[in-house]
Amino acid sequence: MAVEIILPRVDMDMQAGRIARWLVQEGEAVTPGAPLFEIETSKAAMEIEATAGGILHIVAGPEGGEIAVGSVVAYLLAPGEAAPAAAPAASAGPDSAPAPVPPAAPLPAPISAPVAADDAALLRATPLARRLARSEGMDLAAIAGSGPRGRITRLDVARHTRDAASRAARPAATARAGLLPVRRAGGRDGGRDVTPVVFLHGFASEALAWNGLIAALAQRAGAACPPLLALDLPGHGAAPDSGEASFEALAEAAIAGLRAEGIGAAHLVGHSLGGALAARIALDGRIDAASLVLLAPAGLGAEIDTAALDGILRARAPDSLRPWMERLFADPARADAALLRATLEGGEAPERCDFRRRLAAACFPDGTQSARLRWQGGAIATPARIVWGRQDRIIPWRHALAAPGRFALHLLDDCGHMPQIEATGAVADILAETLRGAQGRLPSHPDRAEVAC
Amino acid sequence: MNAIVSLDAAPEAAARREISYADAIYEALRSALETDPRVFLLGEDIGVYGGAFQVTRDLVHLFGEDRVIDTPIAELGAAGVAVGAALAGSRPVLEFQFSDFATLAMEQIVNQAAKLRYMLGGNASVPLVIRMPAGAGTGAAAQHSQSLEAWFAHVPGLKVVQPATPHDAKGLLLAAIDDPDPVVIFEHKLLYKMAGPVPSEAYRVPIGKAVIRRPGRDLTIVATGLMVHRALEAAERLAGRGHEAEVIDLRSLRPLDTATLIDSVTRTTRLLCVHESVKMLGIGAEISAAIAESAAFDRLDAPIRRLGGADCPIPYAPGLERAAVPQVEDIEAAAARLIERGE
Repeated sequence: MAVEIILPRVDMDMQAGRIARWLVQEGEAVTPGAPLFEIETSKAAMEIEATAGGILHIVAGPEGGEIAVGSVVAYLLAPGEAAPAAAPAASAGPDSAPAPVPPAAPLPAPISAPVAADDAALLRATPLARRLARSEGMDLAAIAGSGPRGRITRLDVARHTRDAASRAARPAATARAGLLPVRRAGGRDGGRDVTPVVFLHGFASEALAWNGLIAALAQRAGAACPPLLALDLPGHGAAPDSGEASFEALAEAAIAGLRAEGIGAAHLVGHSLGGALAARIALDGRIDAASLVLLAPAGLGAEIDTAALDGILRARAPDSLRPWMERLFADPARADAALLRATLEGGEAPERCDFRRRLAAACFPDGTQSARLRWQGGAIATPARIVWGRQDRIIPWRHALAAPGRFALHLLDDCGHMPQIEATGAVADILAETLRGAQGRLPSHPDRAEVAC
Repeated sequence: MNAIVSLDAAPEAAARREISYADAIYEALRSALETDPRVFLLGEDIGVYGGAFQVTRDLVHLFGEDRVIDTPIAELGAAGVAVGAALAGSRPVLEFQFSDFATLAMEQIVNQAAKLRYMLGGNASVPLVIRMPAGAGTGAAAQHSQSLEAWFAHVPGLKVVQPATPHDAKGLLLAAIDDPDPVVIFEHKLLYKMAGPVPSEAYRVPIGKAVIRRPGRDLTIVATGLMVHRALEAAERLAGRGHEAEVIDLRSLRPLDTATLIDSVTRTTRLLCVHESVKMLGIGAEISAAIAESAAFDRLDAPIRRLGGADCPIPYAPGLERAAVPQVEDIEAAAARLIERGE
């Protein structure tokens, strides 16, 4: 079976090299370990040895030409074996790209030649990054390292995974300079007359976390689906970590972000801290709230489980995060590996950590929802609903009783602080109802929720 | 997390009583002398003079010259007496005036005390405690400022502890006196006047258990002796930069509590070892290797770093003496580099 000989990477930043001379001639037999050729880079020259025995068949161009790292330069063949038809070694241009994908050999399955293995081992990566890449089946060579001398760290792998995932399946975030990223789904926003639905996530969450609910709502709305926009609030998701970390600053950023999108009116959906924000924005008036749906909103009472918030902020590993994330749900199994990972990655950058810490201190000082979050005094005239899980251990559902009288209250069984995840269908139904009602029809009672006034 | 988080906060309120590190050792010695007739002390100037660092104070007056023995300036002889007495069933506590002088007594410590249990087939043991005032920072220069704990930790048969707080100074000394085998205690001279909470009753701190002095998620700093306090101060400064360093007080060099270290690094993904003894072949090298050989290797997201004493005898000139051992700013800078730049 033909054994590929590739041009190995012999120095760290090497992208191309040249074969100074062959030490074995075409058609000669070699034994494993015999020197095959001399390689020359910008820094060094060294001999490359045969990794197997066989008859040498050279496919590289003339001696002295630049060859990209990873290119096949020769094969070692069994007696009588024909050389695989392979592209000749790629010559490296002046701005030679990183190692190209080795040409696909039609014949034998590629043997993982020791040369190639050494090549991969030469990549700088921390042990943790290597392990993560291994477990994710990810090629380290595809990841840009941000550490010293290009070393790949855990953050680089995490970033790569996240980028790949968001490229693959998720609505793209767009941001104009200084404004908040917006993730779009649902109907096209070409028609400005259709009022969009704007989703505001909670503390330590991000716009992506609405994906499940957005999909369920889009399905219910079908062709009539209005544009669905999820904002990343400052210090979350793809938004920057700069600026003042306070409730007011978040509200201002959200209002400015929406207005920059040309949005003057919106159906506002907010969860937890995002719920308080949605109410705050509705009361502000610069954005006309066509309806308001608040999921386990902050801002209606004093209590909040800041131990859980603090635990989530501090956690560095799934094992330390899990107990706190489990508190978010009636069913602890909802705190699954994917959610833990997304939460860890979302908050691990030091500036982000710092921003969130300051935000938590501003919104929930001394374990209390601060007075600044309060919004129950305002008059909200639009259709407004509160959805709460009876098993919410972060903010007690009884806070809903402090809401102004126009609010309808939906209390969900077997549901904790995350109704949009734990009761996606019911919440989507309630949202669809609200949208229909806000468009002038009388709402009917949602079937899976209890209604109170 | 199964490690103990403690700032020596003893459960009972009475333990808020604060005394100095030297007084804590005094209390341990006094309590052992009161409760165990086998215990006696020996060392240079520990009697009438009260000890070079005033640790033994009035004990000679309380317990008499048979139990608080001033030895001649002959360290090998004193160590020989102590080893022999221990073999014969006593519980001697030997003080070297400066740990540097233990070099004169290595034969008795390394070749006799450490080995006799093994060479006599387990038929004898040497329940000897050696107290070692150590460390730089007093302007006492090269022959009176060393940190030689790693030498002793290299010898099978010895246990080596390095209490960093008054609480541990008392508890580890009492545990050492109970121990059936030789225990070497390194006491940093700059700690003697440091005060901290110490329960008035007798208690033991287990030998071979490290303790987390400050939990954190970004980096593990493993420190010994005086360096624990510098690491804690550095961690406080790092917190101001948004970094949470976990500080582990190693407490025992041998046996080494690798479980606590591995658990911590597994969580924090970064390790910085800090000790005053010379960096080369110091305990930090052993800890680094233990982590690299453990399951925590795959959790490392940055190179392991060590800070230790400079590769020179401790200089007399104050500026050079300061430069020869890790300072708070060195620890802060090394930790920040690891967290922020991964190097």
